[in-house]
Amino acid sequence: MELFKSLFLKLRAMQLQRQLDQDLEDEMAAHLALKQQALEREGLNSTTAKLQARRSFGNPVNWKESTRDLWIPVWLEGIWRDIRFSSRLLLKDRLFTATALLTLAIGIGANTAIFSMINDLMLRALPVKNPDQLASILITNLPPTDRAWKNGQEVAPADRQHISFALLQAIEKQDIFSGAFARCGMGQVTLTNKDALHQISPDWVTGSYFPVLGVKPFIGRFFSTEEDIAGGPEEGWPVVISEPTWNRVFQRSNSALGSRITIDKVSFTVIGVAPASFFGMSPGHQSDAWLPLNSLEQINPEMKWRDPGFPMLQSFVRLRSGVSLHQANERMKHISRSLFDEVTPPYQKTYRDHVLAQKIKLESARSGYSWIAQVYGKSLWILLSAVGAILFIAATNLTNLILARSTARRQEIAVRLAIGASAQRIRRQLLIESGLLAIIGSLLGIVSALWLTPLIQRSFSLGEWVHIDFNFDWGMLVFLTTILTLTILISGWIPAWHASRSGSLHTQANESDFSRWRTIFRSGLVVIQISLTVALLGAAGLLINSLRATFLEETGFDHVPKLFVSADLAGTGISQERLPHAFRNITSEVRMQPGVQAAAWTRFVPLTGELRSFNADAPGKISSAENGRMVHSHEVSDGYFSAIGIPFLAGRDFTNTPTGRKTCVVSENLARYFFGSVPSAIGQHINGGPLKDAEIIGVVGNSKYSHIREAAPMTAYFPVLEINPHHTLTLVIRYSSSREAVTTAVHTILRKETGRIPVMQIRTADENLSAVLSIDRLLATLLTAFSIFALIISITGITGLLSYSVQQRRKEIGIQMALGATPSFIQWQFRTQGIRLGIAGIALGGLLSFWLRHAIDSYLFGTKAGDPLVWISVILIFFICIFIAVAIPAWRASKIEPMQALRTH
Amino acid sequence: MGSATQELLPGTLDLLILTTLETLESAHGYTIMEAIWSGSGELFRVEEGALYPALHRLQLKGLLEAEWGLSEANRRAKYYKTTPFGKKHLVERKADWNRIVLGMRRMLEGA
Repeated sequence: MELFKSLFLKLRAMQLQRQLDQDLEDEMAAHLALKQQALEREGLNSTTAKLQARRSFGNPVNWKESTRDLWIPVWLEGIWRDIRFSSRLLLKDRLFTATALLTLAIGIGANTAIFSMINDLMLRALPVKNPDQLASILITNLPPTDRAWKNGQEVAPADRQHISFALLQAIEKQDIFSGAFARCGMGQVTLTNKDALHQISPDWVTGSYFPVLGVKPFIGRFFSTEEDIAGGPEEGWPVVISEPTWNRVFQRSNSALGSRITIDKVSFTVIGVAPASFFGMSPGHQSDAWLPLNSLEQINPEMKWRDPGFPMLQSFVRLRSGVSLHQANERMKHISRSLFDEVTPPYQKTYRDHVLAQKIKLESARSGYSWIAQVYGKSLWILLSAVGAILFIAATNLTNLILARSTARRQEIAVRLAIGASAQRIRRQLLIESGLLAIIGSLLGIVSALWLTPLIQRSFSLGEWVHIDFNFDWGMLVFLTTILTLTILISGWIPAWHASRSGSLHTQANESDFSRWRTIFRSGLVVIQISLTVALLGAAGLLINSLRATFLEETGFDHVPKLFVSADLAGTGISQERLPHAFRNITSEVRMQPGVQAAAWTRFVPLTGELRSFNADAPGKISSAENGRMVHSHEVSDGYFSAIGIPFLAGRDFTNTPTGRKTCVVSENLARYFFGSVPSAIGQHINGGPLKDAEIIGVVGNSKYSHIREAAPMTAYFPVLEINPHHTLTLVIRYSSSREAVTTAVHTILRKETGRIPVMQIRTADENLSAVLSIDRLLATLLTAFSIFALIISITGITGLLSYSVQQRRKEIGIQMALGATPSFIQWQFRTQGIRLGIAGIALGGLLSFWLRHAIDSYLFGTKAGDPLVWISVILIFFICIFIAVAIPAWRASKIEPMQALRTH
Repeated sequence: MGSATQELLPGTLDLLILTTLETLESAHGYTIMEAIWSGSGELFRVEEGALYPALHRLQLKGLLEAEWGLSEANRRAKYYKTTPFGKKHLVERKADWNRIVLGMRRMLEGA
């Protein structure tokens, strides 16, 4: 209680400092007057009385000081004074302060933004109960005939994250797990609510999903195992929607609960809304809704998730408390074989042996399991390294700036030391100066991060597929701020310590030692800055080059403008049987429009990452088990090849009317691989895919399928309208008129045919490509921005260093000129100093880049890490910048008046 | 100023001030100083250099509160008063002091 009272009084005293001084003054004056009176009454004359009275007080200044100290401790007041002094100094030197603050703000802001993304995608635990107990199930040691498509090549995969339902059930029974659940996705479906159509990307999950995860619904309830049964519960299928979906479809109205919606023609009832923080099991991907797994068959009969030969469930388990991941893995290793034995159907013997040899592996799913993290994770770490480098550069720049300033102030400091300041006081003031910069800079950094982060988020999100939600992690921000603050304080302490030691004015000998040390230190920092900048610039250049190559890459399609119109006929009331007819009508009408050269339907849009494939064999020629290969399958209507611009090499296209025969068209590389040559493929049969045993009626040129950077794969095209077409197809329109004209025409035709405009998306080929490459574009943009920033700092670093050097050597320059050196000679001296620094930096940067050369290999396309064009450009840019940087200080040096330089200190 | 003044035991100055104010109610520094001098029979003389820091300390601790008024010479002067907390403190310290005195007397005089 006493403590608070005294604290309160002290704070008040600080506030009313002047009042306090006045009070003390008055108190003393009153006392003196009374004492003087008393002494006069005793008989002393007024002068003597006055003197004696005053003497009784002792040293009044001392008295005032010590009394005052009771109220306001000296050290506290000292710090306050230092703060005011430092602020004044900083405000006076606006350029320095602005540079320092700006550097800090960008450094912290960039780091925070990038790190928060990494945090969100890969580090942060899921918002569920006890996330540390969750593990994802993976299958390793796969059969040698298993194939996967990775990075544009067919590879033998290392592990598989999808298992069959039978295996999941077998695993669930193990006693080390307290529960298991699975999910699978299918891309996008159409949600219809009262005639409004929405595209959503849901998860199909087992009934155990919500109970095992232990999430609480935001409103309503979740479904459980009782409702996940074949055919659905009596009341109809339940669905849980996400908070964003609730917002989008129902405008957050409570009437959402209990409302009936249809998803791809199947009826569902909304029973609950998931909390906003819950996005599913994949960080970076917000699931729009959760549906019981058993409803999958009704929506898409192709997805045979019950079939033990179709592993398509991404599965997770919850470890029983007390069981560690290691223990669980050991157990799984032992029982893998028996589990597989239990659930694997009677395959052919050798294959079955392979399957039984597979191993079940568990990995921590504390942060979920995300293919997005796999894909983008690397680019994020690259970005983080880049911003880390930026931060380092920024911090070292600051160190240099502060060092330079402290040098400029050494006279002031010497005077202060001479009149009695302790070294500690000097250091304290300098540290407070750095501290002020740190705090204000950090605040600016926080603000800039708040602004920068959503910007990057929007660029990273590919709209439909990827959605990274930024919850600004304050813990991490504080961490970063602390780091930078420490950096500042350390970089401020070195000059502070130095400055406080350089006491006497006449220690010129020491002075030159100091300044030499300072110069070497600062030069070293500048060299490091340059090397980092070189690496960054090089990386940016390589990425830009890759992008350029990507956009120029030959796709196998021609370059005539085409429009891709995706339409979903699900909610139009057209029955499944009539769909082909409807699609055909639409194409006939579109083809008749002026300006349209060709039009056709396709199930998958090329170059957007979609992929369907199957293991194919040619009966009688090549069997699947030995040399069967992975073939990409495409479903297109007649006229597709002419619409998209793939040339025919042999045979013919599909016909407009159904033939009843099972036919397909294949790509050139498939024809050659399976049948030896293009012509001999005609009439042969291919087995596998949507049409078993289809006859090849035509061969077309090779073309890229899912990614532009991949080699053109072997592709088989099947007639989409003859194999029970999906209700969402994309119309490819080859046109010579304007985009608006075509769009309007298509809208009209669709409305006529279906009664509405069920268009989901209209894009050109280039727009598709840009969307897919958005990560690469973002990476290139950010790296370029960072490099430019780093370049500017490095250049100012060199300029600063040289200016300092010129300042230091004024006398020497004066003497040189007095002895006959020409101004250009002086200039040359300093220029070479700068150039030497530059060369050292570039060399170091080259070494650094060489050491890191494999880091961005996966992003490079059409260029290697050692691409000479890029590196030569980087070096050239640097030399130009260095010349600019050294120009001004060198010029200033040459303008020094010898007599002035010799006279002034 | 006649007989030799007694040195104060440390810590007793607070007690003296509080006791003085018990009688005087409200007084400024000079008055307190004079009151201690006369009240102790000219045994205890408190110097200004010791008095005022003590007064300010007591004020910061919350045992005294201060008020500004006009002194006899029509100057602005600071008047001190005991707070209720101070009064309580005084009672306790008085009891302590009496115990010490009793104990010392017993030891020194065997009574």
